[in-house]
Amino acid sequence: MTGSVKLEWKIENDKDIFKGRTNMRILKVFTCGNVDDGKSTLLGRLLLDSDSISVDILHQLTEPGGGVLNLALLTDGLRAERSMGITIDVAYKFFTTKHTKYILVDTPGHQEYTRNMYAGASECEVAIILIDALKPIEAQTRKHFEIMETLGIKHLIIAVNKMDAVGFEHAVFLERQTEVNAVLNPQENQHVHWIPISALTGENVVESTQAMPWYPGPTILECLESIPAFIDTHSALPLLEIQGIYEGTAYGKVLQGTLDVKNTLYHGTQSLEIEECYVNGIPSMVAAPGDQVTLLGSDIQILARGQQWGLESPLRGTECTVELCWMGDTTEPGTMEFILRRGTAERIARVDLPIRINPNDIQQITLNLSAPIDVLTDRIQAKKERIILIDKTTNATVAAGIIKQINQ
Amino acid sequence: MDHLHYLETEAIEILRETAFQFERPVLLFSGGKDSICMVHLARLAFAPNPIPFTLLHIDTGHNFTETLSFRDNLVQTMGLSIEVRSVVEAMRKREILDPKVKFPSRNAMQSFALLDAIQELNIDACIGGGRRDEDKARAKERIFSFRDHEGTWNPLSQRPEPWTMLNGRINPGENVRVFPLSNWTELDVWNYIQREQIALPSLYFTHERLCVELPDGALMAYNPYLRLESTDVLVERNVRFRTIGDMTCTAAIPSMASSVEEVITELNQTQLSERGATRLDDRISEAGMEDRKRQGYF
Repeated sequence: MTGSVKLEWKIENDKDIFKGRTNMRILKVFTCGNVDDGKSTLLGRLLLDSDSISVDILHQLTEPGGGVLNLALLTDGLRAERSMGITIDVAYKFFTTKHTKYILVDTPGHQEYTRNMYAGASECEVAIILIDALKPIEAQTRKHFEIMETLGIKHLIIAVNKMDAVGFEHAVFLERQTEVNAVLNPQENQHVHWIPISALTGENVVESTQAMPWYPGPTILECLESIPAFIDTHSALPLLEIQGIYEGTAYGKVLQGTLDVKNTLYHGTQSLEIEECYVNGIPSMVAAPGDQVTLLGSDIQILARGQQWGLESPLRGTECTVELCWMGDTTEPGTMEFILRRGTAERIARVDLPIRINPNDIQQITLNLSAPIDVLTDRIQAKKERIILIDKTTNATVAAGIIKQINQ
Repeated sequence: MDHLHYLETEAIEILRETAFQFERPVLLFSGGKDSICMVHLARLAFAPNPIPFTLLHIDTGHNFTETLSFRDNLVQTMGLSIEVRSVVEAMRKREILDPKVKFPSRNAMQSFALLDAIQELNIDACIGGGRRDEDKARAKERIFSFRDHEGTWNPLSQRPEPWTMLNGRINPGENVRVFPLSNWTELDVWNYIQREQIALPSLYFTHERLCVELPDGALMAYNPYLRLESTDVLVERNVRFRTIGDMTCTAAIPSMASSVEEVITELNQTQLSERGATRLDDRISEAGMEDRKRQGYF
């Protein structure tokens, strides 16, 4: 079974400063890597060394007869995962440091479950990608990089693991770096951090090391801690999405910008004056990006679920090109219909599928929508126009993707 | 945005999506701190209007009296509507008797009453207080967690939730379990309770109680449902409850914490997980939660 390693651990009582604070930021991080690259060991290290595993849980992970911890059991929470010894679906774990609550998303490395990796990674700001120092990078690692590129993950921490098994040799690290650089095309706003580590013995995970004097940089935890808090663009013009109307009151979400009660918002040729606004249930004159708002006023009856209201003129069209990750079963070429969701908006989407599409494929396709949707150019460029496709009969989510282009 | 504001906002968005995607959602209310927080969040989510959900309490008949009086008081002062369904009734219908064991838990039997209520009230969504930090099977579960027409959870074919885009579409007879507190930890809940000054049942704070002390040190509240033996030792202790479930399977912990602040201090120092410290029903097997969830559990 993967992740079965002998690891020393001790409970320290001087770390309570880590827990229970109320003014922490949130950072969403996902980990990915091929089977046997040491992902479970790394996760275990981060959780153990940040004192995030209770004694009773540690006992459950400890195999009878002395000290061997099976760290895969921490995240492989399903019967099937434990019996097969692999991660099938996403698991969510949490740990905190002085300033940050980490949402750690453990995603499967196995090719067959790439779609689960895509879904788990979609919302994260940071990826920790494990590379095995012992062997050249494999096809699945290339696929992982392709997904990071598609999703526009901002920070890539590339951890070359098992450095202890190659004598902490700088040359091996450089070799892996050359291989990855041949397939990785970081975008302008993507930051790549390279870290040589040993998850097994702990070098450069939480604690720094003397074993690799050629590497003067941060450990993984130091690197995570130095990543600035994700701040959505307050400077962008406000954009509001309507979730629904209840008792003559509108409920919605500020997608970007700062919403001021005094703003007049537009949707096509219609305009909206807000009289009263609540943020998370409390009366407020302004709302920040991401806030949940409640709106009152005499214009509310013109609002409907799925609409976007803002100050900029959007592109409005019924034909859009999307880059999809296919999550459903193998589908043969032909014309078919799905339900498209973009935020709270739904449309019927017709697809002329030119070729067979298999689970886990990343594919660009064009959709024809039953009614136009509004899209801001800036948001397309920022990869913020995201959609899912839903099967009309089973209601399963069969694809997720990002809008690349809209045709008026 | 600090982490409590983030978690609050996320929970409100999930509650609103539930209200707008379903026809007859209910909020599962147990009288525990997580469901009390959810009522508070639902109030914020729909203010200044009333909460658009009926509460549903699956009553095992083994509740602490403090839990029931807190429930009735909350419903009355906040003007909520509530349905109570009896586990005993669901067991009688199926001719199931209480297990003849020392601590006769009706925990797994709650699923029967819940599934009956879903059918009877035509419920399409049940909002629950489950958190991913509680258990390794819960750590794998979606926010909108699909149940087929038999109430079964199939953990290997869950709907992906990229960008937390929640797909609540179902066919008749199917339902969705909704978990707004998925990304909260026990400490997040307590810090939120402190920030929002949310009232809780007195069971959560230190009090003197007559307990049965088990060989492993666990303290069970003395109550008429236990099948005690003559060798059992009754002790009077200062305890509080870290979770509130059935009297028959929830252990108390020794504690002198008398305020939310003191509870937070205590939790910062504890070396035991929430369920590990208190739930006899979770000690049964490694996959206890997964198996119960597959059969329709919360």
